[in-house]
Amino acid sequence: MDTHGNFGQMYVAGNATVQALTTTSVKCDDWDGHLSTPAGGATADSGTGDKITVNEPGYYRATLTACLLGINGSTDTVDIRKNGTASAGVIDGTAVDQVFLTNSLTHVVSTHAIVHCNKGDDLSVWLTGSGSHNITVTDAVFTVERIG
Amino acid sequence: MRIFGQLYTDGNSTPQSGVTTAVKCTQWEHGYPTRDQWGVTADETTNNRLTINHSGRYRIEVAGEMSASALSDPVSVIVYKNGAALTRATAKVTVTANGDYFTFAILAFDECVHGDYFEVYIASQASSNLLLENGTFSVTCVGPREDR
Repeated sequence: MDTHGNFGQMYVAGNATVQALTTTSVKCDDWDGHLSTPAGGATADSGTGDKITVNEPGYYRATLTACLLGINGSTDTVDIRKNGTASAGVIDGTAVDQVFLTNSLTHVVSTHAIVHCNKGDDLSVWLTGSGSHNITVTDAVFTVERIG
Repeated sequence: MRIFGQLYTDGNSTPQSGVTTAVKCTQWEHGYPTRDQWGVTADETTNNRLTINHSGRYRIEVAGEMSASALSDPVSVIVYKNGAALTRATAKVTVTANGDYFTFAILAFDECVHGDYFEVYIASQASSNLLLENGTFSVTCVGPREDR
């Protein structure tokens, strides 16, 4: 079976629930739905795991587009991690800082990477604050697609 | 297997200085995969480009985080193909303060033949030092050429 093009996707739309940030990274847990092709592809878990798990070894493209509502004066970072923890797993090149100069303005961030995964590896989205404050991921799509 | 290649930079701290008119972005630090077996030559050292080794229809993606040393309306990020601007693959951001971080993302599709190459150019309305701190630049074959 050709498993190229198999994918997992998590999304959130119109979210208003804040996520508390500190300088220690936290996994984005705002996902409210998912699509996936778990048979030979990827399993998306938007419920408890907030991650997409790869079911076949290979090369995958991970893509994130997110709308962020931050706090005035903060600089928050979004990145994609493989087998991520609070202190490890950032996929090189995916970290993007967003500066919030004004309250109540939504900013869009987008990042992507091609990464090799083994069976069982998981990919997830992480948030880090410049201090202790809240952020709202109002709308986002995170997709992991097998390409090789 | 799909054909793909990627350049990326992670935590770069060396900007390109005095950027006004469009200049090639030379801030890519890594090529991935490092082999050519996936049909795209990723050259982050000499030419800072991705070269297509197999004809086909390609998806081109650039995303990252950049900062500028001066106010500029706008700073532009442009994909070039074979040395000419691919104008439909341009991102423009207004930089309102020295040191502002901003994120950008570009997605385009294009028909390619063996030997075509893609580069990223950056430009500023004011003379500015532009720093690509984190970013990814990838091409992925998504199908055969339309004329086949």
